Amino acid sequence: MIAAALITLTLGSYQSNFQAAQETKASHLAGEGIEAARAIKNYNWENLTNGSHGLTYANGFWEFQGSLENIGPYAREIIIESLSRQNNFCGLLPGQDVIDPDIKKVISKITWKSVSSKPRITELVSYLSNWTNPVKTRCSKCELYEISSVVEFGADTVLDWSGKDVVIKPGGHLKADSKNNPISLTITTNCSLIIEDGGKITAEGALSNGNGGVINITASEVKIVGTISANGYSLEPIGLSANGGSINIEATDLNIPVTGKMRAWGYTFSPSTNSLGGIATVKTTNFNHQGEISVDALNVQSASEKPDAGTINIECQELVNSGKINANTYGRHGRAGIIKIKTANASSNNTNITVDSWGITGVAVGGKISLSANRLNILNSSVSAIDIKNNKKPGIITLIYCGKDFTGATFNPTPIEIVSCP
Amino acid sequence: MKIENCPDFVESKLKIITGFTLVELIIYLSLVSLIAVVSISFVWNIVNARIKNEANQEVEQNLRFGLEKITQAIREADDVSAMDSIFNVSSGKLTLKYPGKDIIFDAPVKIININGQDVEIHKLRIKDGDSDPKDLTSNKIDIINFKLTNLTRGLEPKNIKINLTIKHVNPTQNLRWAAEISSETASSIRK
Repeated sequence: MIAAALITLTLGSYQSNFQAAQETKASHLAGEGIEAARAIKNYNWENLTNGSHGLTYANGFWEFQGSLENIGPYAREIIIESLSRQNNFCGLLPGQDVIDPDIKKVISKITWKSVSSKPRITELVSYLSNWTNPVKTRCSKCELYEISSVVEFGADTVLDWSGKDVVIKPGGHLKADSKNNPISLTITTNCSLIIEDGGKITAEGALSNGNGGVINITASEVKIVGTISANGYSLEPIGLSANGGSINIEATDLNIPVTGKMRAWGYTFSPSTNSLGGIATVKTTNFNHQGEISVDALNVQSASEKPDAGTINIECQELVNSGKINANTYGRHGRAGIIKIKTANASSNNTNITVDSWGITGVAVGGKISLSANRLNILNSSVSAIDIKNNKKPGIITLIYCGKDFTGATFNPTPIEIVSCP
Repeated sequence: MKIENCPDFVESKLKIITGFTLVELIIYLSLVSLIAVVSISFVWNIVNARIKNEANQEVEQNLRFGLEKITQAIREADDVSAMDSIFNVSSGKLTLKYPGKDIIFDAPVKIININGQDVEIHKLRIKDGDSDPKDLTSNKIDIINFKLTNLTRGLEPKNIKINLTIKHVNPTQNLRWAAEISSETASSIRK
């Protein structure tokens, strides 16, 4: 009995050591499988196809090959599964409602046989997401309302879309354009308004002396990947102006990615015409801006009179800005516009804030820029308010801050700096 | 038991001369020897097993610690410096870029002294910025393969495959200390 016990103890000890080593190797192989899937995902999200996959790195990078990979006594299987979310996209629950195209479950499964020939399994699970270029990520208790076609409005219109997440898809267009009389379009929702790339909201004057209209948007969240414009257009007859309209946005979160445009131009080819830039007003808590906000006066005929650029007012708590904010004029007597940004914290990097005049006469004058923030960071950026052709009548740049960092920023003319701490 | 018709002094004399026969004695000694031999053999086996287990645990713990340290450092790095790393050899070098510093993993030769005898081994070590390199494996461990493979595709975050094989230092080639383990894993930069 004693001998049997001693033999069992000795052999058991050997066996448990051997098994521990096997488990260690298996967990390393499983971890490698997850990292390989991540590398495959990083290269192209579309390569993460559902099913069981083996792995290879024969070409110098990780790829899926076959449905299983044998590594010595171990077999490795990478299993990719889709995940579904509830209708509102807030809960991550398998097997429910809508498949989320931006997330996959990855299981790295290692199987082998133990010393006693019993099948052993080690699994690691990870969730990988397409966060760099999401197809669709939506978490809202609001009803989804998508617009994919052109919807025209012939008079002043108020759209109350409370309870709806409004998405203007590519090809979708809310159009409040008019030939002569500016009309307004007011959109209200306590949810979100998203204008996707290729989607538009316009209240423009038609291509013959039409002033831009008014666009008012009030929403919890606004994302402009496409275009909002209230441009005025004038081609004929001579002497009639077409001023830019106004765009007013009030939201908790406003996001304008790099393709997004918010324009209220005065735009004319007619000689002897004044087409003034419009007005853009933004009131928001968080503003992430990478696109373009412009209220330019684009009077391209040299005979144009005094095409003054418009006004941009931005009020927010947190501004992260790397886009363009312009109130420039391109007429020969043009006076550039005004940009006022008032925020608690502003962080700008690689931005371009200009109120320049490209006019050629002595009337041409740069505009006014006022940037006010408790913490004002403007890095690697250009801020200018000058008359470019004559360089005689620059405008004014005023910077009001408690703390600042202007590393790599250029200001023209030299700004007036006011230190003001709360 | 009383012997009939036998005087008491004779009876006591007879009791004194009763004992083991020679055969009994030989059997007795044989059994005792057998048990002693078997016991010593088992004890010896147990001692050997304990040493073997200790060697196995030492290599396994060092392998796990080394791989965990490297994979974690890769995940948290800004980048992998391909110029300053050495890939596809059995004694590789990995240079990771961190804000304001580099972290380097390598497995250079080191001379250690075991029982008065100098022994040449490879040790896995980490150099964090300007500080002196620190050993990640113990003096009982020899790194026999530390191979790094760069499996990054295009401009995507770097992915590094790590093959690590280590064995217990065993200058006398004693079977009790013969323990070796190899494993492989990979890690990607998260940024």
